[in-house]
Amino acid sequence: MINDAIDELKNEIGEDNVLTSMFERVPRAMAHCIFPMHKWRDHIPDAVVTPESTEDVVKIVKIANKYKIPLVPRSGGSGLADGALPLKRGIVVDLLKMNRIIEIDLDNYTATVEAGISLDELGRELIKYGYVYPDYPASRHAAFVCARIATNGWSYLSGYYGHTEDLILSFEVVLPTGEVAHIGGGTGGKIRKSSSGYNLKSLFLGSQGTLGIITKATVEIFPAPEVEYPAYWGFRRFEDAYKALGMLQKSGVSCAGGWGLFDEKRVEFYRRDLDFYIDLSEDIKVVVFWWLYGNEDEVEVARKRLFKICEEANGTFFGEEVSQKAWAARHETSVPPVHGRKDGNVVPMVWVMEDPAVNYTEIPELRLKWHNIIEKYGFDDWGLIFVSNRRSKRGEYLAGIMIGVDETEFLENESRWEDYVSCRRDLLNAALDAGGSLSAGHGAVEKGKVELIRREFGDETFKLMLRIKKLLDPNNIMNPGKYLLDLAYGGDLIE
Amino acid sequence: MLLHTDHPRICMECRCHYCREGCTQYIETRDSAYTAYGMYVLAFACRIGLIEPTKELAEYYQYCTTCGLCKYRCTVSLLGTFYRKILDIPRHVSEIRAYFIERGLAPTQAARLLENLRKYNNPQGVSRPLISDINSGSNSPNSKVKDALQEKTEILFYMGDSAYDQRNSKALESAINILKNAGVNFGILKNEPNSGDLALRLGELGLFEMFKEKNLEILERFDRVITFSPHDFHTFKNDYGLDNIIHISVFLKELIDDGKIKLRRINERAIYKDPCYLGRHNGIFDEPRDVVSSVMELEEFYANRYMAICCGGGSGHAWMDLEKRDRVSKLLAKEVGEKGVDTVITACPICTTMLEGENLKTLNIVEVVEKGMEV
Repeated sequence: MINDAIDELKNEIGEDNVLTSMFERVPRAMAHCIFPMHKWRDHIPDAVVTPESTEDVVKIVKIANKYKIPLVPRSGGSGLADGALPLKRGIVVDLLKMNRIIEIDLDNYTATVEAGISLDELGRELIKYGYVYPDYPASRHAAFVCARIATNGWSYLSGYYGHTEDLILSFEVVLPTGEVAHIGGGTGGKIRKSSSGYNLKSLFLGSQGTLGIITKATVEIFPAPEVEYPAYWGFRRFEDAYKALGMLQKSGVSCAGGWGLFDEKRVEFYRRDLDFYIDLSEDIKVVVFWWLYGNEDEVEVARKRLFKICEEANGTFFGEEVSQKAWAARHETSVPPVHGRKDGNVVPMVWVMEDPAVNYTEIPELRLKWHNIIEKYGFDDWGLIFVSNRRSKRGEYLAGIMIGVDETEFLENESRWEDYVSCRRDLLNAALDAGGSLSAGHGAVEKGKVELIRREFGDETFKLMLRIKKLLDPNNIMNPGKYLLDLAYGGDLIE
Repeated sequence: MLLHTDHPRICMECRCHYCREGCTQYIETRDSAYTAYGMYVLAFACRIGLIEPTKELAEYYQYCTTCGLCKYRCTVSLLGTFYRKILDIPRHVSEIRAYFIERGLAPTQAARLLENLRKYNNPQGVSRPLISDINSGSNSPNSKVKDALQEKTEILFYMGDSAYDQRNSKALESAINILKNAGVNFGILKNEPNSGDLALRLGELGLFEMFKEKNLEILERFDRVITFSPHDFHTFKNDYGLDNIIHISVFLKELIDDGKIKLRRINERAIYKDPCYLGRHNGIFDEPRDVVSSVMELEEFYANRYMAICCGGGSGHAWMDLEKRDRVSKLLAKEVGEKGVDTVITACPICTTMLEGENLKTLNIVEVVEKGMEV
């Protein structure tokens, strides 16, 4: 059956766009997220297709429906929630050949791009005109504009510009049955606020490829900020740093991109290999950092106000040069797998980051719980970061729980994978106990997390999700196995 | 052997995909599988027996130009010199290629170039140097160039594969004119052995060692060896470990600073393309810029210096015909067009070949100097 489908695909979209060799399929069996390496073979897709246009995508979707073969959309492969992982093999739809920047409209501050345009590629084009697209995930250098809709991405600069959901004006999506829908933005796709009908944009935000393939998007662009001013502060006690965070929330400064905190374990982690940009002396236990964006004059006023707050909370400023360097390295410092430690030895490890959203008041208690859970399972604790989560920068934080796990260990000892799944479940149950959400930015698709969606949503809301899925995707073609949505096709949860 | 070290595992346990942006192969294929990420993941898959090291896989490893941009985007390598050494991606690619060649799995096009190297001493497969009249004592104006070995000159001018190439041999003649006019006591080799650069990049270690042995014995006799190609420069300096090697662009800068060459300015705007093996691999960025800007107004590519985009011709690609969707040189040509610049300046014969292939007016740095010289 798969061979028939492959032949038909070759006829429809061209032989060059249907890849079947092992070396083209094997690297697409996983994404950036922790991966059960012992099950690698089970996730190697049967084929990879590389459409060059929306029309190609429509043809692919129709053929997949005819043969009932799973489709897994993929762009950067840098997602941290398994969205691009072929859970049930099938065909990976790699969108990177759809690489046209269709329009840059400087007068209405929009850019329209196809799904294969990365944040860096768009950024490189915009800066020629003095503009930016300020969607800044930690994975800025690997992420793609349209894929960020499917993951409902989180941005470092959300406090000033908003997250992906705020920056996306409209998009084109090929529905699971092959129709092309234009979502949001008025008839021209460039309207930011509209009350016409349901807000269907939200339906696709975070859909992780289960409701269709996003092929084109129009986003809001901004004049490049005059000033980018990051500041890193050292604190001797967690309590002082936590208090400083509370006072920053009250400051009313609107031109801050956000603020955050590295806890004691995170600072210890940065100290391991002495290659972080801050020389962290032993008496510095916790780091608070904030970053201002905007016009020179507004940033100067804000800077004075935030300096006063941090000084009053007994913080020590690391200086402008160090702060600039540490901030510039923010897209790299969290990722490298070379800082892992096992029995005192340096061991390559995958960087795992659980990213629940939690309220400010819950942080002191949760952080202790989380560290205890990681210790209980014997994984390498890479510390916690807390970063403000919304434009208001108040009341709510992304809690980055950083853990080092040696995936190659799974090859010899499968139970370590199950250990990690349990560890993840415990960590996130603690977040839900405290009124939080499973994920502020990555998505909740992975094993150990996905089972808790029902708990976060409640049964009725989860059933609604299942109904929507079945309505849009009657054959369960799109990214099956994700979000427990297979229950919509014969499980016991839905009547 | 690389497959049994931790290097592929380090990438395998990271999978950040930062290497993709700017990667020549990615630009040309729009396929992530061809980036450093793909190469390491497949090496690791071989190691754990998930896939077999087949001829098909050997062909796949042919696609990298070893330009090394990925090394400067890799999150592992970014964070300080210690780690940068850990993931020396271009070197690892050569090692993986060697693994296949040792098993008799040489990729078709590489095999052809290697055969040419064995037979003709150059990858192009040209039987004799196109500027042989330099050696032959014929009536060519250049015929008075000294035979470096016979006349025991202090300086050797090593010409490399450019001597077998119509376009670049012209630039070689310009270089020789300049050196002569500046009064440099130099010579060339009558029978110049190939540097072995390409053999090494393609993983044919035996052939590389043979060239190395031949060259070492000669090169060590000179105070200084000027190379025309950054690839030969890199190989002599880093793979042979010689310290008397200088690239022509740096030598020209010395001649200008010493007042041995006097240049007049020309009212032209030019853009300088950093050759990967001069810039990124060896950190030589300023000297060629200084030379060019003393003659012309200098523009920069958006991605320059350590982050410069490869011309697409490295690792023998200039003489291969690999199936690709696009050419990276086209992307560079587009940027040149947008900047409205008259000329692209290169300091590498391979860049010249690739960029002229895009119908860009391309000058080697020596030709810029020749233009600006008060003769």
